[in-house]
Amino acid sequence: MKRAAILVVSLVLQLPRLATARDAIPSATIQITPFGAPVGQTPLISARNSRLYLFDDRTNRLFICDGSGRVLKTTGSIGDGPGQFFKPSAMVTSAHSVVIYDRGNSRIVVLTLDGDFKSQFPIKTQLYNIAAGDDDTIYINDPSSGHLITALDINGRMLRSFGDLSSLSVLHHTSNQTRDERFHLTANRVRLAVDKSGRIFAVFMIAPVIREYSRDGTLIKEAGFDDANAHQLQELFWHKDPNLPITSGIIDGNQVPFLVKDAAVNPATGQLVVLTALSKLLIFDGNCKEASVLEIKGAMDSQLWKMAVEDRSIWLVRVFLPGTFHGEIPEPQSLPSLAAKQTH
Amino acid sequence: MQFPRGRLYWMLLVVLLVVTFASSMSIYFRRPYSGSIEQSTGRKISTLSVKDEITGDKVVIPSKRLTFLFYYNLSSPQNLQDITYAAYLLKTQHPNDVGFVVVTGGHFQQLEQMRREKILPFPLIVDSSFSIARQLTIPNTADRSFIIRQDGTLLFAPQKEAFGPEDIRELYELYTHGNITYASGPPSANEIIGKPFPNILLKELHTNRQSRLFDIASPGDSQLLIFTASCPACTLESFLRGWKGEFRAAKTIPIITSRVPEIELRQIISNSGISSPIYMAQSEIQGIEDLYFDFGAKEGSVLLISTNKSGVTQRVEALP
Repeated sequence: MKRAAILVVSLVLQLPRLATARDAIPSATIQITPFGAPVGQTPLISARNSRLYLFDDRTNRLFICDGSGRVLKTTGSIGDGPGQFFKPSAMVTSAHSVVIYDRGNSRIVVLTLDGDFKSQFPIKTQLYNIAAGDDDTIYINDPSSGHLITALDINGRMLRSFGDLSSLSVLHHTSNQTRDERFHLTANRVRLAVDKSGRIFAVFMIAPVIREYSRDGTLIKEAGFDDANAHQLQELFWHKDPNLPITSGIIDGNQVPFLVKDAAVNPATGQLVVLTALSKLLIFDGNCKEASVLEIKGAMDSQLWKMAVEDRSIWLVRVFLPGTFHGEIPEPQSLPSLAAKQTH
Repeated sequence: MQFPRGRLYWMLLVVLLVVTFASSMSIYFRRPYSGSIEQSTGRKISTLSVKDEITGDKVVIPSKRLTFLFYYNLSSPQNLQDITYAAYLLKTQHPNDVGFVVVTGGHFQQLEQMRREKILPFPLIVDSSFSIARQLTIPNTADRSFIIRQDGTLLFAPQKEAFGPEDIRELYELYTHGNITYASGPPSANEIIGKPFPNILLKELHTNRQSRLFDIASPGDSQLLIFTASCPACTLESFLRGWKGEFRAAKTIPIITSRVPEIELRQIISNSGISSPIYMAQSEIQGIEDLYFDFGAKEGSVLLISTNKSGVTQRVEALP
C-alpha cells in the first residue's frame, strides 16, 4: 500500500516535467546561403552518395553534381523519347535509381544514379510526389485509387496499394464535416519518403499529421506534429493569423496553403526531415517523434519549396524568385539539450 | 385519294425521330471535348481546313514542313506571353517552312486584338464547334501544344502543359537545326558589368513617343530598372503597384522587356493607375534579358542596373 502511494505521488510529480519535456524539443537556427547551382532554375533536387541531382525543368535537363555544385554529368532534353522530359514535377533518388515524374509526358522515368535510362511507364493520374525504396519499389500517392499509397515496380506493375484515406475534419480534429467531400482528394495528398529499411513515411500536405508504414503496407503509427508546430500550422491552414506567410496552390481543384512542402529521409542518418510552411525543418526520430526543430534563416524563407538532405548538408530550392540554397544541419550535441530547455 | 391515317402517324414519327437525332448530334458535336487525351506523338491527324477569325483567310493545318499549334482553352497572361515569344521567333527567324497557329476554345479578346493589330503575325482560329479539340483530344479544362509534320504526323504532343518560350525556342532549334543550344554554364551578372549598356529604342506607353534610352536617361545619375521575369505579365502588376510610380524620385527609368505583350502591359499600367513614364523596350535587350535565366531568376524578377556617365554598366542588383 505504501509502495503504491509512493508510486502515485511520483507519477504526479513527473507530470509537469513530462509536459515541459514535450514542449522543449531541441531547436536551433539554420542559416542558408546561396548555392552555386549550375542552372538558374532547379525546382527538383535530391542528394545521394555525395552527389547532388538537380533537375532544371526549364530546359528539361538533369545535372549530376558534386557537393560543391561542380557538374559531373548533364543528361536529358525536351521531348518524349527515352531519356527526354517535358516539365517534370517530382524527382527522388534511391540506392540504385533516380526516379522522375515526367508530368508533361504523363509518365514515370527511371534512370541509373549515373543518369542513364533504365525504364519508363505511363501514369494517367495526377501526382504531387513520389518516393523510391532502396529495393527500387516506387511509391506514389494516388488517393483516387481508394488508398493513400500505391507501390509499383520500375516497370509500373502494381505491387500493392495500402493506407486508409482520411478526411479534412479528422486530420484537423474538427467536428465540421461540411468540407470533407470537397477536400476528399486534397486532404489525402501526402509527401512520401522511404528509409533504408523500407519503412514508408507519409506526411500530409495540408495537415500536421504523419503516418509510418512497414514495407508490406501495415500502418505502424499515425502521429501529429509537436503541439506548438501543429497549432501554428493549423492556424495557418484556417487563416487564423493573417501575418503568417503562406505559400498556397491548387491541389485537386482546391486552393490551399501547403503546410508541408517536402519530406525526405536523410540517407546518412535515416532520420525523416520535413520542410514546413513556417520555414522550419522538423527532424523526426525513428519513432515518428520530433527530435529537433531547425528554424531556417535566409532569403525569402516562405518561398522555400523543395529540399535535398544528406548527412549534415541540406539544400533548399526557392520558388517564385528561384534559387538554390545550402545550409549545414547542426550536430545533435550542439543543439540545446532537453534539460537545458527545461530549466530555461 | 385519301392518305391512310396510320401511315401518316408513322411518317410523322419517323420525321420527328430524324429531327431529334440530327439536333442531338448537332448539340453533341458542338460540345467541348471532355474525353481523355488520346492523340500522342507519332499519331497522324487529318488535314484541318479552317478560317482565321480576324482576317477570314482560309487556313490549312498542316500546310508547312512543320507547324507549331497552340490550343488554349484558358485565357491567361502566361498564354499571351508564350504566343508573344512565338511571334518574336517568327519575326526574327523568318522561317519559310515553319508555321505557327493559335487555336482557342472560345473568344479571347486580347488575342483577337493582338491579331487585329498584327502583333500576332500568324493565324488565330476560334474553335467554336470544338472540332479541332475533338480531333486533337484536348479536354476543355486544359491547354495543349503540338508540333505537326506536313503529312499530319504529330512529332511532339505532350499530354499535359503547353509550350513556354524556352520550349518553343528549343523545339524550333531542334526541328530546324537538328540540335539545341543551351547557355553555357551559369552566366553571371558580372559579365555585363564594365560593358556599355545598349542604347536601346524605347516607347513611352502613355505618349507612344519613341526615343533612345540615353536621350532620356542621364548616364551617371540614372538607374535602369529592367523587368525580366519568366512571365512578366503575370507578376508586373503587383510590382508596379508596389512602386506607386515613384520611379522619377528614385532617378530610375522603368523599362519593361519587349517580351511582355504590349496589349497586356497597357492593361496592367491602366490597372496600376501609374501616370509617370513607363518605357517598353522595342527589341530584345541583348545580354540583359537572358539574365533572367541566371542572376535575375535566382535573386529577383527585376534588375536594377546602374550606369556611369559614359553609359557603362557599373552595378547589377536584383530586386525581390
